[in-house]
Amino acid sequence: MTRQKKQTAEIGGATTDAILESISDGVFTVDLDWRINSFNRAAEQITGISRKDAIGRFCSEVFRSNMCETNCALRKTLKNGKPIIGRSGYIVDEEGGRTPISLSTAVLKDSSGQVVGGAETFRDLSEVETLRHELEGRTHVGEIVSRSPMMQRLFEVIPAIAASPSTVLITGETGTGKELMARTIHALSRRCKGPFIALNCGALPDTLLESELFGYKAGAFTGATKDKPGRFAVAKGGTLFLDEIGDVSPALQVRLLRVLQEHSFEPLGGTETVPADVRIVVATNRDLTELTKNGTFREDLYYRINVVRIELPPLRRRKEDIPLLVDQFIVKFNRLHHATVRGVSPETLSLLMAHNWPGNVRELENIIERAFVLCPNGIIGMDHLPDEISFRGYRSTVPTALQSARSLLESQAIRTALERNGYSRLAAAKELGMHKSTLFRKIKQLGIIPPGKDGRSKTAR
Amino acid sequence: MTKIAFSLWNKRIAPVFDVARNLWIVETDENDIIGQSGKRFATDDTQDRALRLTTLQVDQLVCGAITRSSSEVLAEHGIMVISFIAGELEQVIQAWLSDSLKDGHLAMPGCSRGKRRSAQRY
Repeated sequence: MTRQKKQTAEIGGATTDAILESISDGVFTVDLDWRINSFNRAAEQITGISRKDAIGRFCSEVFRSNMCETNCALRKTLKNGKPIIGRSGYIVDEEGGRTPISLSTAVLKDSSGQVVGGAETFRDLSEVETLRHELEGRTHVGEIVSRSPMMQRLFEVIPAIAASPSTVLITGETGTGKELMARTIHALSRRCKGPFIALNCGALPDTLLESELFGYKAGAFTGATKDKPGRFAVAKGGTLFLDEIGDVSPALQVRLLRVLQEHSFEPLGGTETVPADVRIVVATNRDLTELTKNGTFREDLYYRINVVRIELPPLRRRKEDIPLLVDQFIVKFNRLHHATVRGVSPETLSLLMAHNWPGNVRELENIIERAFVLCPNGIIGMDHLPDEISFRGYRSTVPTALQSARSLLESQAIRTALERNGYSRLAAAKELGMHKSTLFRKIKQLGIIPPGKDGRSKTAR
Repeated sequence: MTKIAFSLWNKRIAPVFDVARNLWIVETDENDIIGQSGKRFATDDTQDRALRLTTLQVDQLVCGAITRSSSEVLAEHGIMVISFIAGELEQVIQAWLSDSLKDGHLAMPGCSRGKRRSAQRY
């Protein structure tokens, strides 16, 4: 290299360094062994790691991104030579905090065109995320999303409920998010630093449930070789969530009542009373008023737990939340499945909006997860939905958007009239107050399949 | 007897536990290794992973970076977490056996020493 060329190269290198130092995006470069050989000032600021500590170390151990192990953008770029622009993810800082980032990659070549490594540019999206959260805050409380007026009223009182020490009763159909609500109350409460312990009372037999709740002392029964703390003890300083409280036996109801009244309990086989420093949140999908009336649930316990009551509406009564929930599940499953689904098609959303959702939010979540199996990238279409939701299953199940309410009512009325009149179309038309040719047209239009024999054939015989 | 799980990737401690796929389980008895085996995580779900470790009867987890939320869930399950560790698996196992992980020579860049978070197992 001539002296002049060498000087030009040096000036060029110095200029590049100055530019890299002045920009607000983090930039680092790696050699072919994945060790960092340059790390700019912004990279130091975003990661919290000094250049001195970073140089010479494996990039995955410095960058610590959720993409490093299974989905490394730079590895892909070095493999196929194509740069990746604006991929989203997060990095983990020294304190375990997540910093959302977007990154881009490029191949590094020397003057002879030989690949010598790769470069990664990344941008801190924390501020963008904060702004997004502020905007979303109106429709979010914790992980619960909703824009339905019913839920908005709940959102207004949840912070106050969380701040109080009172026992909370959460009711709602299966799949409405009772545990999520309990977790949210815990997360917003002063006990949030303590543990959140959940126990499904309906899942365990009575004797096991008792030992799970209160724990036992060594020698309390055969096989109890050492002390075992119960959930009341484990949840100390936190929240104990008892799901399916309506399924608890009368004997255990008495013990629970005692804990709630006296704020203390005795482990099985124990002689000392242990204070119960827990906030109790209970949930059920059963009608506790009904259970108290028929004597299955103790009235005094019912009044003890029914201090603050939260009733979660079923999804069919807050269908305006479906698009929001779908978006939330898509973000979740994209992260969990390393997928790149962008959304659902308008027709698919229409089908989802028209479904009755007997399984509520859980059913919607499962349907989106199922769609991810069939469609890991792009747009979820109608073909990715199960039969009971898509058009394929409409005949045998529930109303869909493709059958207007009017068509359904007409169809039902015609079927009933036909059945009542022994499938005589003429008699059915008379009963329905329409001309027989109108009835024939409607039968054809609505796809009503007549039985093998009809009124005419019966008359003919 | 103590059971330790090392989150593993490319024969080294995996950079981020939250998305790590593989585990190397080491059973020790008074600083002697009495058994070793490899296991996998099926999902990235924090609760599922904590449950998996509990099912495997793991007492301690040695890992790279870990998010605060994951660390708290593991603590709730009574698993002691020694985090922000980097290095070859063999080297890290030896450091654990000689109780020198806390010295900081295997800490991830920018982390002065391995962090521990723990809670009572129930």
